[in-house]
This record gives sequence, structure tokens and C-alpha cells, in this order.
Amino acid sequence: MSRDDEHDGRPDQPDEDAPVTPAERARAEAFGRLVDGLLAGEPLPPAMDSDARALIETATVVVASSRPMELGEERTRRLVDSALEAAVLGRPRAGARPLTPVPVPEREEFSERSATDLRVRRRRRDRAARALPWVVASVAAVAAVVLFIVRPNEQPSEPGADEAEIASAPPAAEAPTEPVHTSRPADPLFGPIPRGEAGRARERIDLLFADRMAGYRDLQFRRALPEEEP
Amino acid sequence: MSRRLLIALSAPLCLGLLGLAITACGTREDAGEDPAGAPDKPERRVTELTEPREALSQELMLALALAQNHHHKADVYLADARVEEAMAEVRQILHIRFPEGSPEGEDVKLDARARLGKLLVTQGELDEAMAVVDAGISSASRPSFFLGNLHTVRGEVWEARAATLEEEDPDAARQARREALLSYERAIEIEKPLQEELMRRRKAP
Repeated sequence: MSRDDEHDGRPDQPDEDAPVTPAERARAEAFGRLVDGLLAGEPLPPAMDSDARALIETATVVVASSRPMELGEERTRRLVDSALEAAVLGRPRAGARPLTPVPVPEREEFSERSATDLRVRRRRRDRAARALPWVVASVAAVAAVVLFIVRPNEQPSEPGADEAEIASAPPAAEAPTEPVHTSRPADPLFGPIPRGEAGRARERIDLLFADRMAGYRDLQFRRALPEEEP
Repeated sequence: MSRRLLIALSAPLCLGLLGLAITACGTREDAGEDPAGAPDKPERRVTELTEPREALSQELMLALALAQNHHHKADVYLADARVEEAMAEVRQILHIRFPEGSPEGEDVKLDARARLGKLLVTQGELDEAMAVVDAGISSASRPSFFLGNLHTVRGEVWEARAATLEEEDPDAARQARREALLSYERAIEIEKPLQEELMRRRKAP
């Protein structure tokens, strides 16, 4: 809708070559203020001529496409969040308008990573970190079930395998073969207790403890030593 | 959404399976499952060694050490003329838990009763001394030199009682002396065969 079209369609309009009148200048300035206000986010006046409204919308589109639009910080953040949710989770953000698909840049374009790319990668890393414990737990559960079923320690060992370990392992506790290693009455250690020594229990338990400790240590040493070859 | 729901449902299930498997493995190990399926095998923990019942054990050594320390504390109290505290220490020995059926435990407790009975006699507490000694005699499971010694202490208690009754009741004092003789005779009856057996063993090659 150019000025020529209007001129052609409307013969009552002034001539294009005619000088600009003050009324036209005032009207143009008012029109410019309306367009600027609309770009700044102000609403249109409630009562407007339909031709003027269409003209303002057209002018707004033209101005917006001819200069970079600077969005507010809050709106920028909301737009990025909506786009990330749609891209990562596969669902639009609650209450957000559906977005037009953003063209994925080519591989070469990642050399210049934008903040949005970094955020997407960070979200992916967070998502992987959240899923990692569950993956580990699942693998451990499966491994436990497999080990429970297989029980590798019950499988027959291959001949010659781990013989050194078996030889160096401490021998299993066996029954003590000598009386000195056994718990037994203390009578033979003391014999008859003279009447004058009836109350000297302290001396007797000293001797008893020393005797049993000697046997106990000998037993422990024998168990710790490897079995002798016949 | 469905993947997150799947993870949320499957992860606790896997954890439950893990716990179940670990519990099952532990149960089978704890039970000491015999591949041959030997029945009536007592349950044993994996960390426990097969300890013969009559072998000297750490539990026995600890109990002996505890009794030894109580006797030493009693000696210290007696050196300071604190007889009540000394008797309290000796009483502690009667409550020590020895391994079940260990002969040393019985011997040590009988000896502690003998010492306690003599201490009570020095304090003039003859009734309690007799009760302590009689309880030891009735609890003994076998004849031993310690049991014979306890009968000896019992005779001393009767002698002390006879001494206290000598002036006011000579008949009761005479009866007490007879009881003392019976106690000494009982001690000899116990000790004589034991001594003969001991001599026979020492002579044997």
C-alpha cells in the first residue's frame, strides 16, 4: 500500500508533488509517535480508523524488520526457557505459546557457541548426572542377581589354579591335640591346698592365668603357622 | 514423560532386587549351607572359627584376667585395712561369666568363695560366711581340690562359731566343733583320691 496506490485509488488526495502542509506534517508526526509507542509495547488507541490501524501495523512491521529488535531481559529469559524445555523435554512450557521450530545450525556453526547452546549442553549433562545413580543401581542389581544365581565360589576350580593362595591361607581351626591347649580343671596345677593357704586365692589365680595364657598363646601361634608338609 | 516415569518405577524395583539378592546371599552364607546337605548342622557365622569347646579361648582368658584383677584389687584394699571393699571385690568374681562348662570357671569361683568366707570369718560374719561356702559346695559339679578347700573353710567357720559359743552355750559349741570335724573329714575324702590320681599321673611316663 504505497502512496501511489492511495493516490491512484483516491482522487481526492492531494497531489504528490504538492508541498507538505502543516496539517500533513502534524499528522505524520502523530503517526510516527503511534508507531514508536507501538514498538515500545504501548497499546493502540481504542478508537482508530481501520485504514489508519492497517497503516500503523504495516509501518510497525516495516520498522521492526528494518532494525534489530531488543527484547527485555525477562522476556528473553522466558523465551529461552520455553525453547529449551521444548527441545530437551519434548513438551512446551506450561502457559507458553507454541513456538515455531528453530532451525538447527549446521555442525560447523557450533564453533561459535551461543549461550543457548551452552545451556542446552548443560541441561543434557545435568540430565545424565541425574540418571547416573539409577543406572549404577540397576547394573548393581542385575550383577547381584547374576552372582546370586551363578555363585562363582562354588564352581570347581581349575586344576593348578590358585594353589599358592590355598597353601598360604591360614589352616582351619582344628581340635587342639595337646592338653596344654585345652580348657581343663586347675587341680593338677596346685594339688591339695594346705589349710594355711585356704584364703590365698590371689596367688593361685596368678599361677592359673599364667599357665593358661601360655597354652593359649601356643595354640594361637600354631594356628597362625602354615601346616607342615608330611 | 514416559521415560522419566519408567526410570522412576524401575529404579526402586532394581534397588529392591539388589537388597533381596544381598540378603539372600548373606542368609545362605550365614547358615553355612553344606553342599552335601548335612542335616542338623548348627548355624555358624562366617566370621567365627570352628572353635572346639574345650580349647582355650579368648573368652576364657578374659574371664581369668578379670578375676585376677579383682583379687589384686582386694589385696590392695586389705593392705589398707579396707576389708569391706576387699570383700566387695571378691564378690565381683562370683558374677564373672566364664565360658559355659569351663572347669577353670568353676574352680576360680570356688576359690573366690573360699577367700570370701575367710574374710567374712575375720569380720565375725559367720552366718554369711557359712552361706557363701555352702552355696559354693552345692554348686560344684565335680570333686576338686578347690571343693576340698571350700570344705576346709567351712570347718573353719564352724570352729569360729564354736569359739563364740564356748562360754554361753558349751553344748552348742561342742556341736559346732563336731560339724567342723565333719567338714574337715569331707575335705579329706575329696582330696585323697584326687591326690592319689595326681600322683599316679605324675609317676606315669
